[in-house]
Amino acid sequence: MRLLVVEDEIELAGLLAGQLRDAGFYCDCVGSIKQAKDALRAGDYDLLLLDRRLPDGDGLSQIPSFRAIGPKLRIVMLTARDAPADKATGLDAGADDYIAKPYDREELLARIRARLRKAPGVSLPPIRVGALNYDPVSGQILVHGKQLVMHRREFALMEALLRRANQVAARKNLMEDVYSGDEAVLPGALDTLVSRLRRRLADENAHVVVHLVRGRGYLLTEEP
Amino acid sequence: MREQPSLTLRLSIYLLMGQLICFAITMLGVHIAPLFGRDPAAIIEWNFLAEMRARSNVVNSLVRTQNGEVRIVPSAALRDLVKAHPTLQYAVFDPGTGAPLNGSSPELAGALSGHSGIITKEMTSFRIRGLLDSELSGSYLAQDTPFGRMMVATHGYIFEWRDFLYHIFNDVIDTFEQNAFTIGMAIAIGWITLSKGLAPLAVVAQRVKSIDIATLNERIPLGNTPREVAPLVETINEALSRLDASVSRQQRFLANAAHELRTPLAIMNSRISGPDQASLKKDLERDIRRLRNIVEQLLIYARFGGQNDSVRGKVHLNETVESIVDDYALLAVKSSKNLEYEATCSSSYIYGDRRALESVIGNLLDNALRAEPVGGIVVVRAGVSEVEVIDHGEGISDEDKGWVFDPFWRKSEGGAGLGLAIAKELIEAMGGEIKIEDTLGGGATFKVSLPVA
Repeated sequence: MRLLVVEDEIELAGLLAGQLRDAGFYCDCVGSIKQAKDALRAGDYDLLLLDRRLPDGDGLSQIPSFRAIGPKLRIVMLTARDAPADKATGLDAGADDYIAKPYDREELLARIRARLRKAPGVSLPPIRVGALNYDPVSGQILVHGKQLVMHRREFALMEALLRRANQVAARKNLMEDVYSGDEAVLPGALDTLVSRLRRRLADENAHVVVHLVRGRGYLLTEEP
Repeated sequence: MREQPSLTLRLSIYLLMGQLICFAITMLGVHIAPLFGRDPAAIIEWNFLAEMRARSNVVNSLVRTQNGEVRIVPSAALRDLVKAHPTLQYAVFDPGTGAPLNGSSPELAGALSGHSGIITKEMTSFRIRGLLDSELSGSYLAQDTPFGRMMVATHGYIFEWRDFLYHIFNDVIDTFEQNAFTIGMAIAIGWITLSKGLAPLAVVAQRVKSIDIATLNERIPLGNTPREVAPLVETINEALSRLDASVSRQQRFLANAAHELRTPLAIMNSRISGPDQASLKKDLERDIRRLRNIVEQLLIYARFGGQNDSVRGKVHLNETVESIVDDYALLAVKSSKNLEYEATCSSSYIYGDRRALESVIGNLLDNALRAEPVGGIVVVRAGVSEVEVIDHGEGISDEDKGWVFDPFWRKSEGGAGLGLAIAKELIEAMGGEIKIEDTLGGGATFKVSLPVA
């Protein structure tokens, strides 16, 4: 979970790095293509957050050379240009993902996590929502530092919601994750499970809400 | 510029061809009619049509020998002719001496020499005593030959079909030479009429040259443009009208957008300096989101180019609405309100631009979430080709309903405009409609309808 941010606008770079560190990632910042290459050679990074417009050239065109230095590197392009054509160019050039400024903090983090999950041998930092702390590697859930023990199904639901923290977890995705499609499930079973989970979380003072977005699914987030 | 086809040249060529065809047909008529007794004054028989070619072949057979004598040496064509029609006889007489040239048929020469003295009188058709019962006849005519003027006699020529064509061909050339002046005159008239008739187009071209974005309200006057070409000028004017409307719309839009942008900025400014620190972060996030929305819409509109009925592509309505609802879910929760989504149709497509639609629905959701009281539910309903965003806030008065899409409208308590002027432009540019109704029990319902794909 070592990230390298390549962005020449100092304020933006600082803010971005701060957000990433808060989320538990280790993060360095550089401001040009040359500095990026130096950093990649010197250190071992898992993911590159690359701005397109850099003082010494177009970030996009350098992707092959970045990959040459670090073959296992994941690359996410950050840019102000977001026409579909630019997205396609970005992906064609070899970027793993492409996100437009101004980006949503949550979306950016979710995308970074998604990229890193697919990278072998990379450990993701724990996901923190309210008083909950979820380590995707060990599968352990802590609340106020104390391990949370639950029934199998409740735990599966908790995990599924935590993995999609701060976003709408679609109903059908939750069903797949919790019930694995091997048994007949009564309609409304998921909702009953959610109420049980809510009660448990309230009991534990987890400071989170599991919000119903009727017609879409559930949303786990910090208590407002 | 590529060479365009010339109308005047075409007219001239057609006139010429027309004349030639007319002559050919006339000649045909002239020669056929007598054969069928239509012209009793002309003494014409079929065989006479063969006379011209026979005579021409004889003339072509005249040669001057080494000792200066002119004699008839039958050409290949003449030989063939005689072979085909053995009755053919020919004789050429020197008009000065009246003596037949060598190679002339003695019989014919003899028959004609019966006219004593120097013969200069022409006979277009004669018959020989003794052959009166036959259909044969002859001609005795002065001809210009390469060796001077001679009297050429031919007799016993027989009609062949090619003689017909030969006649017509020669007649056409002759008539053409005689009528060269008339033909030339016709072509000249055609040329002048067309040139003068099309001259106004050059004037139109000149006027169109001066049209620019600042002069789009001008139209090209018809002036002396000929009726046949007037439709072109009319359609140019119609195109100008469309352009004018489009450009005006775009300029209006830009003005709207600029104005809309100033408001959230002003609000943010005052919030920062205001005393309410507790909700500052949340409020700022919302302001920024709103600003982003407007900028998004501007960019989308710029891509559109403000075209009318611009058909961008097929968009899956439910998917698009669902992704926006998901995007705004967190905001709803954080403001302690609920968001609900309903789809009345499992899958449908509309024509439009996905990003434009996302942007507009986002805008509506933003407004709805702001209007909705704490703990309330904002409902988003997707139909076959419509989307409704329903809130239960204070609603919009009937008076204001007409103004909500005006860029300068503000809610009565000095609140903010809703950024809906831009949304309206985008939806209408996609060929859709946006309108407001009252929510039962209080609140506003915004309905967006789009063309079905």
